[in-house]
Amino acid sequence: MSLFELLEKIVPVTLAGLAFGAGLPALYALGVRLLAGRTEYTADGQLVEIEPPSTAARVASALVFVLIVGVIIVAILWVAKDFIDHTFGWNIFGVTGGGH
Amino acid sequence: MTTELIVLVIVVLTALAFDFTNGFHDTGNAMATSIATGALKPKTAVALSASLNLVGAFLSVEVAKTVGKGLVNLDQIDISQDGSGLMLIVFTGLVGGILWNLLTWLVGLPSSSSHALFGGLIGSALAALGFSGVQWAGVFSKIVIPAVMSPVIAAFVSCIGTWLVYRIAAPVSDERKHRTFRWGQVGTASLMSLAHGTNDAQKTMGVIFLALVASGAVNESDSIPFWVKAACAIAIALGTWLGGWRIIRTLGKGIVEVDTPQGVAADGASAAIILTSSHFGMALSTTHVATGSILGSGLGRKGAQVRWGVAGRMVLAWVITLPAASVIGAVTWLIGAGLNTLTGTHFVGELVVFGLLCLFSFIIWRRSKHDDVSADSVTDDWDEKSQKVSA
Repeated sequence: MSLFELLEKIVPVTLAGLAFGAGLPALYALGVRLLAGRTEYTADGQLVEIEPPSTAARVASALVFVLIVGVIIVAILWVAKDFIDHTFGWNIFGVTGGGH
Repeated sequence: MTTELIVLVIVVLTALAFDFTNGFHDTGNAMATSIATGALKPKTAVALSASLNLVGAFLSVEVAKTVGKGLVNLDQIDISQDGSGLMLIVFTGLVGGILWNLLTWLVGLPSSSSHALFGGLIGSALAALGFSGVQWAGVFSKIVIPAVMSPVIAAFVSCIGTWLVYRIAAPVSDERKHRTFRWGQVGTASLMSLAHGTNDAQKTMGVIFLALVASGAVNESDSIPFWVKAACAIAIALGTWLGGWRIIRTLGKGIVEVDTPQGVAADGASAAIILTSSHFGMALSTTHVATGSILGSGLGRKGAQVRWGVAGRMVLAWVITLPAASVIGAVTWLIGAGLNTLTGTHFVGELVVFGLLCLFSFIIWRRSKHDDVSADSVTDDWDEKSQKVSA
């Protein structure tokens, strides 16, 4: 494997890793942040909630979490894609055999 | 019962034993951070992971019938007359994989089970067929390069993910942070367990199929018998359920102290990389990715201390896994083949090596009892001085 071929693989693996592997946790964190309400540090350095999140914030947060659940469902289908194709003849992602 | 059948039974049992060690060796990859942060109770975590591994294993289809394709030239052996030669190679390769998995488990080091299996097969193929038995270019591009790249990519992704997560969630109260990020951890860990069952149980299914072909019990063109699938699924699930507490402890407590949001970032990075990498033609080892992610999450969180001594020992274990398992595979092949030639049989060698495998496994198990790590002690504080895996 030449250096070029190697880079050709490392770059997409890293980019996909960043998009899903860092992006989704960050999105999750956004969903959590929307629920923060108002917080304040206590004398002993604990961050506590002094006001609950607003309804609008709750709705926005729920939407973020629904999106994440959607991605997880896609990920499960991705794991099972060969099985689904083999059993039901439905090639969901159009790429069976190679990936997992 | 003919001797061929006895040998086949031994090889199948050994393959299932490998699958079992594969299970408990890798439980930590998915579950270590959830256990360390208390997102899941240790026993709940391993039960969840075991169930998902079981389901995942049944999702395996089109199992690679050519085990170690591109790594070892097992198909150069003519099995149309007599499959006993191939049988011994596969068998001693498995023995190499199992013993190395047990030794690394004893010292609590998360090494790759696939490396152990392929190392064992490479060793026995080398001993049996000479240098032409191994495809060195394949070993380099399929094992060495991914092994070097996985932890680096995973650490990078996880470091950035952790940094983002902490920045974004900064104004959230500690209590809510812990409560909500728990669910993220459970979700990502579950996804990893499912993917693990699909990928790893498949390797053992392939090995058993190869043994069945070598023995003439099935034809190469047949599909994998259902009992093989079921047996492999159950073996890997039981192994996972047993919980490799020693390795879980190193991953969850040893490398870095893991906090709940950090656990989400680490597991998210691992799950994403494992699920996407093979699509781009570079299948990365679960173990190396999981370890790299945990380490990276320590780099990305302010105030987290990465224990480089533990990380260094782990890297050392990764480097020697392939050669060490090869040596065991080669030595046991020489013992087996030597005894078979000496006695003019095709089963004495296998029986003796099987006996040796049982003996060494028992010794390692006894040794582990001296400093046992259990579900109760797995999250005890890490001893900075001794750096030993047992608490």
